[in-house]
Amino acid sequence: MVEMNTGVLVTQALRRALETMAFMGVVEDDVAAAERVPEEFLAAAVDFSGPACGTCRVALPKALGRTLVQNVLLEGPRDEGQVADAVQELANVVCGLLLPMLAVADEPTFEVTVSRREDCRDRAVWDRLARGEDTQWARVDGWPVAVQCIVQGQGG
Amino acid sequence: MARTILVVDDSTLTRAAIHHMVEMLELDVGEILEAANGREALAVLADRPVDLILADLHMPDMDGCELVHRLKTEPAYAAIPVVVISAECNPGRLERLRAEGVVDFLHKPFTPEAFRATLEQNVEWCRG
Repeated sequence: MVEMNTGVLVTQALRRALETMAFMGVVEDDVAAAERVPEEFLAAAVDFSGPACGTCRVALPKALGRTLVQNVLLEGPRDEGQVADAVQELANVVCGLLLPMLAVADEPTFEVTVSRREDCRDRAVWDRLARGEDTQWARVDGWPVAVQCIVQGQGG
Repeated sequence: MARTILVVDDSTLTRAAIHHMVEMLELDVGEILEAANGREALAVLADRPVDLILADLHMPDMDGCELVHRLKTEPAYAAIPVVVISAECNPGRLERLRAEGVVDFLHKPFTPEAFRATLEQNVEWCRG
């Protein structure tokens, strides 16, 4: 069994991840953030299975990804790959924080995949996130951050 | 005696962050080696003696669970302390890893203070 009302939990997970990893404050539930479409953005996703099956996805502007690296390492990213890597790690951490909150049972026995980068060359990807009912929006350093948690079904 | 630490994580960001934190602790560490997965870690270990392993769990190619199993069943590596640093949320898996010989877990995201405390509690030469 999982708690299906995930919106608040998703933004809590994002807040804790960014505050702890990078000392970055999060303005939660900022639907207007979705309207600020970035020139370039990055996305990463983790699939999970167990008490529920689904996908946890994080998308943010590349400029914010660079700030994330800067805050974690106290120096700028060495290359663009490290910026994309930071978003993958953020998705991994957010998913790791979120799943125990979703589980009603005492012991969450989720399995998760390795975090993967997603193709962000197409603006339509951002638009789909913006339209998604399961997407939560937050604002970080003035930039929009989307966290999408799609629960596809209850597991065993 | 300067020690050698091996950091095993597929995230370059996390490897770099741990590198910084180890430097901040001012431990007697001569070298910090890095590997992106379990297979790379075993290749490093075949070539270099290591005093402490900090390993993620979810990695491509060979994950941290397989790495720990290989380490703890290989006499040459079994005594090397392993601290798992992961976003893992499955308590059963963590218990199995502890039973295999992992000394402690540090959950991502973590602060420099938590990192310091975990090393100091579990690795004698990390105590100030």
